[in-house]
Amino acid sequence: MPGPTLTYADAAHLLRRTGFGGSHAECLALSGRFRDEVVDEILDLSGAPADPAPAGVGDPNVGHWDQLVSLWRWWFERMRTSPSPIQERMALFWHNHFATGNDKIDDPALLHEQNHLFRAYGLGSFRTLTHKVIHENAGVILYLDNDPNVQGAPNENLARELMELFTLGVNQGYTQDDVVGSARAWTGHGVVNWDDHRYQFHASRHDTELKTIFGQTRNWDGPELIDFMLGSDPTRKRLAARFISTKVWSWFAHPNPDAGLVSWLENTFYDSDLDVTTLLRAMFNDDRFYATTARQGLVRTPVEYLAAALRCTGLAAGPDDNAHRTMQPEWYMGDMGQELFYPPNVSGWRQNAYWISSAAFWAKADFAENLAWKLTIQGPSPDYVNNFTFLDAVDDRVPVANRPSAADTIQLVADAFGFGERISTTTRQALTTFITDVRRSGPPSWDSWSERRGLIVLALLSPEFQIA
Amino acid sequence: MADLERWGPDYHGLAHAPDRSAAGLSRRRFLQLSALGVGTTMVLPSWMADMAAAATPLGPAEGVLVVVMMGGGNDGLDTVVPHGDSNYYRLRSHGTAWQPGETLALAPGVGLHPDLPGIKARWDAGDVAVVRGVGNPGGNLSHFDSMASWMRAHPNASTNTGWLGRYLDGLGADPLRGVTIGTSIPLHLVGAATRATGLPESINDAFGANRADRWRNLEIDAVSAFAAQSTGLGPWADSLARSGRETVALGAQLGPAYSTSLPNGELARQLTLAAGLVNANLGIRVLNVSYGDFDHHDDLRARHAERMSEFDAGVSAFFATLNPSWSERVTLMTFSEFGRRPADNDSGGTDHGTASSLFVIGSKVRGGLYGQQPGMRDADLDNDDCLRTTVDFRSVYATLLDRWLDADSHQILGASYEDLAFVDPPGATAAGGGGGATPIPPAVGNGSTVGYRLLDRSGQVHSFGTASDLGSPDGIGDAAAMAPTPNRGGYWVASASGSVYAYGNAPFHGGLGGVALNAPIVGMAATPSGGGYWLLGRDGGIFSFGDATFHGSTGSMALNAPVVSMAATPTGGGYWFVASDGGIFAFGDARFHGSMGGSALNSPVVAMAPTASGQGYWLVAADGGVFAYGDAAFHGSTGSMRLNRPVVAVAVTPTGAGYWFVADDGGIFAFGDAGFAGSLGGSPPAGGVVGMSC
Repeated sequence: MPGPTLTYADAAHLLRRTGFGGSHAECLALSGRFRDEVVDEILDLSGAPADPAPAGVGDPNVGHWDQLVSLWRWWFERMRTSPSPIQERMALFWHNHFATGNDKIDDPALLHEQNHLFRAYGLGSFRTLTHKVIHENAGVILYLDNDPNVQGAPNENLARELMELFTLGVNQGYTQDDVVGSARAWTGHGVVNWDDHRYQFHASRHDTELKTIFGQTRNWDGPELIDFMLGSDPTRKRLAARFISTKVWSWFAHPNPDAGLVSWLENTFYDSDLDVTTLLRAMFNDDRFYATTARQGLVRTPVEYLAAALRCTGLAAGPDDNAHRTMQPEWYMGDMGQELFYPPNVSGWRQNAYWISSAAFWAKADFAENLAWKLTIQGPSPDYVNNFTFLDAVDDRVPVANRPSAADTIQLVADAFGFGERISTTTRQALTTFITDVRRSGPPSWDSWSERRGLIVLALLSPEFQIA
Repeated sequence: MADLERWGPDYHGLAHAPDRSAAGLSRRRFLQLSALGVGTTMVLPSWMADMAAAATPLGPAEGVLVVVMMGGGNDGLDTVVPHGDSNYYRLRSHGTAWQPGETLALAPGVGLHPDLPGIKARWDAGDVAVVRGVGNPGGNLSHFDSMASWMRAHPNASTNTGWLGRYLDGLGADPLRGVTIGTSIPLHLVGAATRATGLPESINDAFGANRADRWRNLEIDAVSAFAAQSTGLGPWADSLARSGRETVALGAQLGPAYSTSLPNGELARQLTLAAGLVNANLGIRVLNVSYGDFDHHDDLRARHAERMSEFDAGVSAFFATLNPSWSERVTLMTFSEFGRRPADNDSGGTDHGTASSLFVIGSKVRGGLYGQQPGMRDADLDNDDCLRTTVDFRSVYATLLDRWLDADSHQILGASYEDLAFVDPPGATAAGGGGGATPIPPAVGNGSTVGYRLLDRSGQVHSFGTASDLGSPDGIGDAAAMAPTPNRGGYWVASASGSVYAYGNAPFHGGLGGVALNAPIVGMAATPSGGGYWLLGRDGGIFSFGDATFHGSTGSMALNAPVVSMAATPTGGGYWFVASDGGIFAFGDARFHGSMGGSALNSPVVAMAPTASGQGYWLVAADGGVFAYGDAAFHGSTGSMRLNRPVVAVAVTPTGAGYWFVADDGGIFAFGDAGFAGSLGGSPPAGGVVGMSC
């Protein structure tokens, strides 16, 4: 029996949540297609680009600031251009989950390596990913003070967060005694030395005595805990399945799923042996993912907001070129409240209300004004991607009488920015007033030139563009 | 544009991610909070619902605390130098020690860093408390832990609120009670229910604040219109739309505070802006600025000198910008997460330490040295060779909370700490003359200062900006003066023949209609209560109505030149007249601060206005020249411009940090924080403009 098909609105929703928004053409192309087929295509990473280190990152002759800028722009470029944006969305999710801050470790190359793990393993086994992130790359080890965690002087930071934040959830399936024992199990898992941040196990610093963890007394070693919690112990594996799958749902659909949904998520993830792609496929094929609660459930994070703006306009994250047709998202994301590689702490960023403030709005407006300038600086241009050729129709050289009607103009703008299927009446009225006032403001030389610019700024500041 | 310079020093990370202790304790509270959030769906941030209540001006006894955060660990021994302890020279043996003659002497054996001359001048004036030996007993040498402890200031180390945040919790939901310059909110300004608002350094980054261009105004209005009604797209879309509208409104309120051009230097810029925000009387009680980096593990001499110069320049810029009427209601304090090691290292720097020194500055501060300078013999130092704290940092907070912020320090800090008694309460002054608290005029309307009214000869009142049109005696033909009510919700108009017309919330207390006058009425002033007013005759005769009392006049004196304008003191216990030759006549508790009488003027004086404190006034001449006396600050004049028409009246902004002139053709000239809201320049009224009020 054929499964459900996607409407235009379903397609727009799916592309916003699994990536950074689809173009009008993409949404049209997916309309009417079978949902499960589209989901399979979205989860197929075979076309994803390779993942070499960005230019300059790890180069001892390049300063850390320049390395960071390179890293930021590289990631935004992947978000803007990847044919498999779900890979970047999951990398963002894992960056927020295994939150590691460069403010403490000061090593962009190490963070890139960690980021690469999110990309390479982020849609596979959660157990494998956890191994990779916790002790094959030293980012978490440094961030959570495990290098100084040595026999005789245990540091509980990594041991606690591994259970509390990374796998089981707060006060789920462990006690303070388990934390104490785990800290001893993780002793000796550090880095080569202060200057060489490659992971290294220092046997001489490892506590080889018996430790009692989860009721079992033996000579535990840290990595064994991952296999225990996420593999051999059904109780804790189930807790982890519930904790992780609920968090994934919260970031892709909406926070606070009800008990029935949580139970379904837990079972789905557990039964897949914690396979992330299986979980995502089930989620994106579930009607609850398309319900109003989900469609209206999320505010775009600043990084999603910036990436969506770049993706739909085609403006690259990169250096100024002669035509000034690039954006520098790193100027804005911190002011919006989310600086990549600088999470507020190990528990990561939070959601929705967390992103709504005057300061964040001002940062968005600053970005929007800069983007409007970059997009229109050359006037009519064959470089416009997607549906941005509409800008030619409202260019200041076009007499007001020859421009599309206000209603048509609004639809063109919304389609270009990816919310053509859900323009609110309120927004439509506000934009109609704007267009009418701009066009009646006198001779074309006066301020009708500002129509293009204003439409871009207002699209980016509309509630429609700011929600996910 | 965002400022890339803010990148770099560690202290940003420290200030905003203070919860990464080895034990992970404080972070745990974050989790509890987010767990709470899980149960409460779609709760809007509290500030949105209450934004309408923003910008509530402060009462006269409410003090403002400005906090200067020195990130990275300020070397207290290099800031306030203990020359008198020979151990200082023994321990600072790598080229960092100051000789007594090199520093600015505070007391025998105590010197101030030589790059703090402005602070020294304030010290000499008795406005600087230096607290030595301040530290966090039981703290450690981690930037993160120490900064978190200083910000948190609570016995429960898992508390995820800061001391000023908990103070702000007690002040209600008005988001402008606490402000920090910058976009992220440091922990000390985060409360359980509320937190400070982060404001950008540049007005250009605050969409909605700059309404100079019509094309941008159309955009701003459209953003507001996004929230005209529900989007139908769910609570988050509605919340985002409202946030846009409220942010635009906030930008408009803040606009005047940004009108001051900002100097170079990170701290001076922030503190200049901070003073402008205080002047704007938006209701701010706590204002935070941050700078650094103080983490001088090497080259202390040069690097710390830069920080000290920045501090000196910043404090000077702050007080230069601060309207003098606020001087007794603003106190500034510094803090840093720790001091540095008494022994300098091989790199000529100093490593992380413990106790440091800090400053508390303001005119209500009891200047002097506080706290015991920690000993520096080997036996005096702790196991890490650091100073032993003599003053718990929380006693500094307690002193400020109890004495300056009218709060309960025990409740906020969770324990009681010593009162260091380095400051007196705000506002109250023992000075003679007016006495009592200094009244600060409330802001117009909802806090915007851009609003004023012009009165023309025919009697018509023209209202601009936030000033609403409340009516006018159109057609009387001999209108002479106007005066606003204290809250500017009404005004009186007086005619040359002595008739009085009252509008809005201005009550009528009588007039001279039908009375034969020796000289026409030329001026008018209202009492502070709004319950009365005076009329001034051209010959210096005074007429009192309502609760206005007579304090004397020049009606019986032979004047060299006619009287042209009057102003009342803030208490209502006196008034000044000014004559066209610049002569000043002071009565009652009005004090003489200087005049142009006897000087040759290019152009006659036409108007006067007092400062909010009554300790000064401005005189304005017809050519736009301004003469500022007492605590009146000069904000500019048109004295060097060739005006088409003579200036006839002046109005001072509610903050006192600016003024408008109006010419008789209705042209407006705005100075200081006065904004422009329109003029009659294009269509001068017949008979000319005769009066102005804001």
